[in-house]
Amino acid sequence: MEREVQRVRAAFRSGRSRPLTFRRQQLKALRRMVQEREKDILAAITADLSKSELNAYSQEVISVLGEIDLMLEKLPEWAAATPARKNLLTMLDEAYIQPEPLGVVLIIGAWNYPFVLTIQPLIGAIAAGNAVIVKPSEISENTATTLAELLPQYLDQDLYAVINGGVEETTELLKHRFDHILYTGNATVGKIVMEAAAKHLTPVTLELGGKSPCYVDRDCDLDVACRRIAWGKYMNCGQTCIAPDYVLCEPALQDQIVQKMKDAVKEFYGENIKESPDYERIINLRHFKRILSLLEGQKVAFGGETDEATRYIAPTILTDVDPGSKVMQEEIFGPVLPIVPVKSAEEAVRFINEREKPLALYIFSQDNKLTKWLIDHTSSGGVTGNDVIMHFMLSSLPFGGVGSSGMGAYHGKYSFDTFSHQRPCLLKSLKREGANKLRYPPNSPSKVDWAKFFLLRRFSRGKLRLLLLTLLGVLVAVLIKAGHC
Amino acid sequence: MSISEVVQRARAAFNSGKARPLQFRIQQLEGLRRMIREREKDLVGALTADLHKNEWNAYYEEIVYVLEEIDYVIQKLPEWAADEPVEKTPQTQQDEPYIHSEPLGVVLVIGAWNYPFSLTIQPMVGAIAAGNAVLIKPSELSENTASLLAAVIPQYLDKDLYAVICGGIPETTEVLKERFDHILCTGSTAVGKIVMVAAAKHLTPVTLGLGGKNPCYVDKDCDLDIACRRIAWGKFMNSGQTCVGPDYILCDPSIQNQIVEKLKKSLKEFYGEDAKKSRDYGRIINCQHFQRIMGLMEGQKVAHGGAGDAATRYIAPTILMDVDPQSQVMQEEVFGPIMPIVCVRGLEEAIQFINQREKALALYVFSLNDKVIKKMIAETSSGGVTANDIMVHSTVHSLPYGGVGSSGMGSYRGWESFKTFSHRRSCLVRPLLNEESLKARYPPSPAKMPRH
Repeated sequence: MEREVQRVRAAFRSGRSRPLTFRRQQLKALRRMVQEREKDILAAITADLSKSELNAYSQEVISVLGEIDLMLEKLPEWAAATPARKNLLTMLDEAYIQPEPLGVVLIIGAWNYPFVLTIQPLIGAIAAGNAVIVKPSEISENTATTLAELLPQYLDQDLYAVINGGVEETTELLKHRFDHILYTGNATVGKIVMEAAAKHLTPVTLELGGKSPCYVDRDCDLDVACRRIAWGKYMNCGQTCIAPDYVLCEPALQDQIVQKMKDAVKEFYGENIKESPDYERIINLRHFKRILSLLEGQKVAFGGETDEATRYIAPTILTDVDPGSKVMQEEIFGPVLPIVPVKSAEEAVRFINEREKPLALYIFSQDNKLTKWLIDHTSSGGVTGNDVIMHFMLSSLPFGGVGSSGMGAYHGKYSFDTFSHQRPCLLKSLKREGANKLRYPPNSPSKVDWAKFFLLRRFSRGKLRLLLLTLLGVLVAVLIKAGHC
Repeated sequence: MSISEVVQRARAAFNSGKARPLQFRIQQLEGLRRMIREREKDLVGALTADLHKNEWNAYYEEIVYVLEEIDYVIQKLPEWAADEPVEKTPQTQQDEPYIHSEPLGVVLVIGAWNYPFSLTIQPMVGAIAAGNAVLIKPSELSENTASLLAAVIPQYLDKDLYAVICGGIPETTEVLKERFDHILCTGSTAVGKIVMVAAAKHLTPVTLGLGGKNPCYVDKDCDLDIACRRIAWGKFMNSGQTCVGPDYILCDPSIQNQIVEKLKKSLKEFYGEDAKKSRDYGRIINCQHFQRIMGLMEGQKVAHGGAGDAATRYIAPTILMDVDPQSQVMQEEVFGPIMPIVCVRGLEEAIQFINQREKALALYVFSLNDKVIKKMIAETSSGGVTANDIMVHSTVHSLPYGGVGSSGMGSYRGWESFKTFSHRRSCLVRPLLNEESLKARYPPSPAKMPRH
């Protein structure tokens, strides 16, 4: 592993990944990989999560292709220096911010969307000119193996490497020095990653989780709301970082919500859900048992059927859930939707704020004012109003958490910026020394007064005025030096 | 009040929501501005006692930047705090996607001792503007400034939301056990690591303003008079105790002597024959650093200066020639008034030299040849760059101030501060209509995969 990491670093040092043409070429190769080896990729995801190929395509592959296309289109613009606004003292200079690669980036993937959650960050890291080491989750082993086979066939083998393995290998890997680490997973491991990064002063982006609340207002089209909630909740068998974790609503709405969600589930998966090619399975036995234990002592309004042999858990709804119960203490990450009754939006806000900041917040209401009020009085990584999941889909919105749901963000330009150092540059000329004279010792009281005059004046009108003031400054400096004032 | 109680009180004050209205934040910033204006004399007195700064240095090097920041932030706040609409996609034409900026909660600012006022208060300005409660922990090494801040801040700012915690290592360790929503620390690499490890336990994001050896490359094709004056100004300000000061010079052997002469000339212009007598020349912060810096001169060829007086912690402006890259003075950040000159043969060797070392906080390059400057920038990395001058990049509002690699992470100043101390929350508000256009996404999926 040591050799592998050193090889990647040496490849970065060679400077090969810096020219934009090289980066574009690698991104295009990645796109070719996704297009040519689609079957292999889909087969791997399907094997890991019992997902239909169509769902694997629409949930993962589409986003990856979209991101590559966006990077290819925007790369020249994003990689270019951005001129910066100057002040009085620097107005004749060249000031700009130059994005540059950081060096060697480590991406630690997750198992729930094993392809997109590993490759989407990779795209950003490549676009920003870095070398990258990818550590896919060992739990989604088919995808991990497939990535290890495919990436070296399409991408530069020294700059971009896949390292597979479990806890031991990851711990080993984290001892090495990287220039940025992006980790997707849970808070416990997030802390371990950050602590390891701290030893090398490596900046981190942590995409974690939490219990994403879903508030359903009484002023709401429940048919539409419930269909959307059911879609986002039961997708990937509930194993989505931004799935609506639990519902908050007035007690009077509970029964209606249960009924309408039941209808939506039937629409989606048919009478015999187990037979539906669109309904996934729990990733492994450990999680299966964990989710099962959350059902203990709960009022199951529908669902609740399970089959350990296939790790099947039916779409399930729990009603009148006690906030103190186990299912409300941890992120469910499964197809179980607790409904916690609250008396009002105010109570919902209090409930949400008593808990850790989640990755997502969902609000269903026709009353736009209420939605805005709820957003204003809570915090979360992101928000979708009147739908679920969708804020993830816009590349113009940064995707990330806050508090224990994570730090940093990525997608689109945010990926590019995350994996770049935005370096401020100020280019002055060796002339016009006159303008500097005020700053040199020895000082005098009049210098201080003039300094206050120039530096604290707010100049909002025109360049000519600035120029005149600079000239005045030079004149003053000369006069001070000559002892005239 | 114990440290824990101070933190809890700040958190309760934050949770009360009183720091959210823009009017309140602006009012607090105005309070800060009033504090600086009304207590300027006390401030200067503290800075003089800590670092031998006089009214002019104190003003020009610290106070003015904070006042500028406050003015700038007050002016921009309504714009920054407003929701920022973002580009829509074809699928989201009827939706409202935007970024909503919100406070993080309780921010901890750990200050440094070398610019004890600005390095503590400038970040605080950003944190207040973003709507947070703020705790500041000024450096105990600059004890006069620390005591003054502890005394005056409660007189001008909301006592619950904004507090000063003073103390040394034990108190800082204690503070770091508490949970914050962001920590900004200015200091050494060693301290940076300690802070980040502590922050990791609470998943607290950090901004670290650290240091490094800032190289200063002087090209043969250069106006040496002007270059050396600017370098001397930046180097010996605050007796060399500046994070973005030029740490060492790289130049061709053929111009070394000239550089030494011209630096000497500027030093005389600035501080007179005997810098000890100049009111404008600073002192080393404490005995420990004094000894450390004096030790760096051992075995070196002293071209100018070299004298030190332990009683007053004075070290003369010193220039070392023909410095061996392996020697002690080239192994650590000098952070004192010693300028080592390391000879390199040309730009390529200088670039190689720089790239073999940790990324610095600042890079300086002096040349009349624009190509040289552009090549130096393109082939190295550093927090920031100023070409043909020193430090100025760190004074421009629109340029972020921060390091990279071991010189730090994250940045602040102006809009960057506001972003650093805010959560930029992605919001997508859709109508509850338009179910038709969404039908394609719901199961059941079509029997066959469509061609694409």
